[in-house]
Amino acid sequence: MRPSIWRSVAGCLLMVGAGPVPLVPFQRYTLANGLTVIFAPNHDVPTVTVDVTYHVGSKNERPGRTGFAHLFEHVMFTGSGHVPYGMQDRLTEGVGGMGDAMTHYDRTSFFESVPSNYLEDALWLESDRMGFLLDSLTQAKLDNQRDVVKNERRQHIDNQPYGRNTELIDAALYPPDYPYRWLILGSMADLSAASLDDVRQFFRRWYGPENATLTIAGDFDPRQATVWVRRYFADLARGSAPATRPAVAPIRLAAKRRLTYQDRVPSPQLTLAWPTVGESSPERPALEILGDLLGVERTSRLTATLVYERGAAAEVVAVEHANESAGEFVITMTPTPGHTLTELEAAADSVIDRLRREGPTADEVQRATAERAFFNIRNLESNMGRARALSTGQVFHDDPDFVTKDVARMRALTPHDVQRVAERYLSRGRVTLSVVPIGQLGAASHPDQSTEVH
Amino acid sequence: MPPAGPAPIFHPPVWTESTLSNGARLVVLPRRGLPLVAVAIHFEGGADQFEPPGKHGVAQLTARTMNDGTTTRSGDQLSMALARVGAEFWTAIGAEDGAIRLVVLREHLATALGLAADELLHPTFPAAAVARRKSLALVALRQQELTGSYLDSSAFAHVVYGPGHPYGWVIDSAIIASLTRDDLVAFHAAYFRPAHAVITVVGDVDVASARQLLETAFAGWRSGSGPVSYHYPSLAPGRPTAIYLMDRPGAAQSSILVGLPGPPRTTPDYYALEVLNKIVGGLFQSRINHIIREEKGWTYRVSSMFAYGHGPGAFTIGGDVVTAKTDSAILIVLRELRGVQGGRPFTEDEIAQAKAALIQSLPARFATVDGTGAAIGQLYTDDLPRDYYAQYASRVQAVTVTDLLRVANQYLDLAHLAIVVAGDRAAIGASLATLGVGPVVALDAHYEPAGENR
Repeated sequence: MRPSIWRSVAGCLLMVGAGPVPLVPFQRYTLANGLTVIFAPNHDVPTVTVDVTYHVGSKNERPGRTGFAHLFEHVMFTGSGHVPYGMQDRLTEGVGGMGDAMTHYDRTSFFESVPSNYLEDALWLESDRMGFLLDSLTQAKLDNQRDVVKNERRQHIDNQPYGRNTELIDAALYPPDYPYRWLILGSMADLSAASLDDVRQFFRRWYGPENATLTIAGDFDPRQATVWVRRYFADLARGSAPATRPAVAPIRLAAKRRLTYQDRVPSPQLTLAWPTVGESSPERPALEILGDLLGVERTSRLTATLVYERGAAAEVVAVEHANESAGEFVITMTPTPGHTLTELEAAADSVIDRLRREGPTADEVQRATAERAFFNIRNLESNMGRARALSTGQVFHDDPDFVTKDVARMRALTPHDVQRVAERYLSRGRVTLSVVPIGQLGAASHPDQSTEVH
Repeated sequence: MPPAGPAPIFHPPVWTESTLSNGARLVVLPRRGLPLVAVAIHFEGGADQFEPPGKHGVAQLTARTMNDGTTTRSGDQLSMALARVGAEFWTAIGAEDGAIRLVVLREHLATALGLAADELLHPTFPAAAVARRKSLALVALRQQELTGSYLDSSAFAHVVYGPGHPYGWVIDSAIIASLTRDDLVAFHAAYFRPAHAVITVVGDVDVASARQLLETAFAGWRSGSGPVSYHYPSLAPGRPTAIYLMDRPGAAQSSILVGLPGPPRTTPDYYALEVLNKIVGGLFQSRINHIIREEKGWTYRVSSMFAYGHGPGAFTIGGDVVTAKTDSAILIVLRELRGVQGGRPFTEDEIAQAKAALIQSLPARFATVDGTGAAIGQLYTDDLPRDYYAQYASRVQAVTVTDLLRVANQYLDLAHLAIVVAGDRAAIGASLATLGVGPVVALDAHYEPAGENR
């Protein structure tokens, strides 16, 4: 039975000075070609997760060529120089595991969870597509995956009630060349315009070992894994140019921007969005707690007032989305029949203004931080959760143990910390989006002051 | 391709079973790891067995409203008390089973159990809460009725099973609106009884402590009536294959659902059907997904499944395809169903991958404490033998090509399929009518044949 350091977790999270005991024990080293390698052995279940995260995302694209990082993610599953198409699925799903990927604004992660005896195969797959993807990339493969991605866009955005919210809000929130403005999925027009050469350039630029972190979490022997990592990754060449990322500064809005959008929806919906800070900002934890106590539990301020007391809203969601360099605080509210978006906006403003003036109570903050701490620990139960926490910490903070410090920092938040970020960021300058049923422009919040978008 | 190592040995969990004073069965599985405990109360039987005629929806409404107050705590107080310790707690009732689930840090187990017991034993269903929950359910229903997949599954249930069979019950807004507080009180009194409950406790707790904590928390739980019986009316013979069409004007994709009633979970053909399903549509590289997504690029995903259950759960193939290819996708699905009946022989490779996917994915079900609890609870609610997990691999391995051909022909009655399509009728109606697959029946908002049909 493995020795358990977990028993000391709850107490140790409150240590300061010496720093808390890591929630996930790990080792880290770097190869000569720049690849960062993280090991987190755990023998509870005979499975292992491999995660390769590249520090590239939609943020690294440019207008006219959006959707590339995500299209690229799809291309990575079509085979590579020594791996024929279909072999990846055979060595993941076909052996009782799974393999998938996700593209974000700032990073793209590829991961497999497989029975422990398939670790070497998983490393071989990831190394081959890091080093030899272009050898097998053809126009036909690109065209096919382009079509799949277009269907993904249809399913999640165009054919989905309220599916266009993010795209519309970000277009209003950010200037045209701001890297977080366009959707990760990109636009249909840009996807159609992507050429094979565009895609090759993108790969050479961003998918080298120096821009990647390899994390192995689960049932494996680190000494054997070290041998395999060297065998498969050590000789891979670096990218075509040093990985530089666009300098992205958080923005502020001077005034409200009101938008109305007609959609095939049964009910109007109101979204308020303010620009905020990025991952590394010391204010980000307080903004996350602010979201929790405004709109998550039934006793959160907006939910309690609008859903339970007044019955004016069917649902309220409040979330801080922090990307690497900047973020958004978003509140979405759906009214119950007989209540209007104008009413919801006024009620939300009243709740927010009071919170900015008086701050939250200590009990509210304690409840929100206790829930967050609990979920952080829950996420570390699986190999996948551990791998993700380690790789995210490494890629964004050069610290695989970032989650441990983040939990400790969050537990130390005070009501004044939360009040301060509410004052600073939930100001009048925001985007207000009303989504209304077709033909009901009057159902928008303050319809006479709202601009219709398409 | 590197060779795989020797397969890790899977040790199915071993647990102790006993009975509490209140008659509920108790299963405890101590596990060291993170300091978490998952407690789940699994109930045999669900909405299909306990909802009175004409009150479909009362089960879920009751489960939600239990959160809204007890004899000693308001809904807000319950929510805050759980948040203070950091816990996940939810109650859900499905068609044939239900569960109350709790995941909490070990140090707060006693407190959380007290709160869970309070909700279970002493809910008050305040009138204002009942009204609010009904209103929210109606709003949620209106939202769901806009999505293709919801329309498909509701239409399928209604057409294939009919409103007289529990599998044909569809949530109806008039019924939800008619439910009263008395209905919820009566349902709660009948359903939440230890006589048909199995409590699983998995995590950082020993058997004796778990038993003591549960005896204390649920001492006041009165037993109620005995074991559940599952009776279903016999089904009318299936209608000849037809296309049932619901209109979603302007839809970028059509949601398609093809299927027919299948066998119950206890069928001796279960293992052969599971292998067959993996090959047809249960894997990314299954026949239908490979063709419709990877070869054609017409979808993000299509998949298949056997629902099983205590009655004749359906076999279905479903997914969202680009509107212009709705007709072609249906033809491919039918062609591949004929294929597994002998037209396109199974390859050894396909069968090996399907078996490996089933067998080798089993250990991952036990990666988390609540996943483990759910896996154990399922044996009780589905009437499976206690050694099910120990026998699983050998039962899957024993499936032969002859078995696969037999079950494919026995269970996939291609002459009596329901093909349900939710899509843009103006764009696809004509091509579906001339497809040669069967008559096109347009359905109205109640999933009944509309006036004019071709």
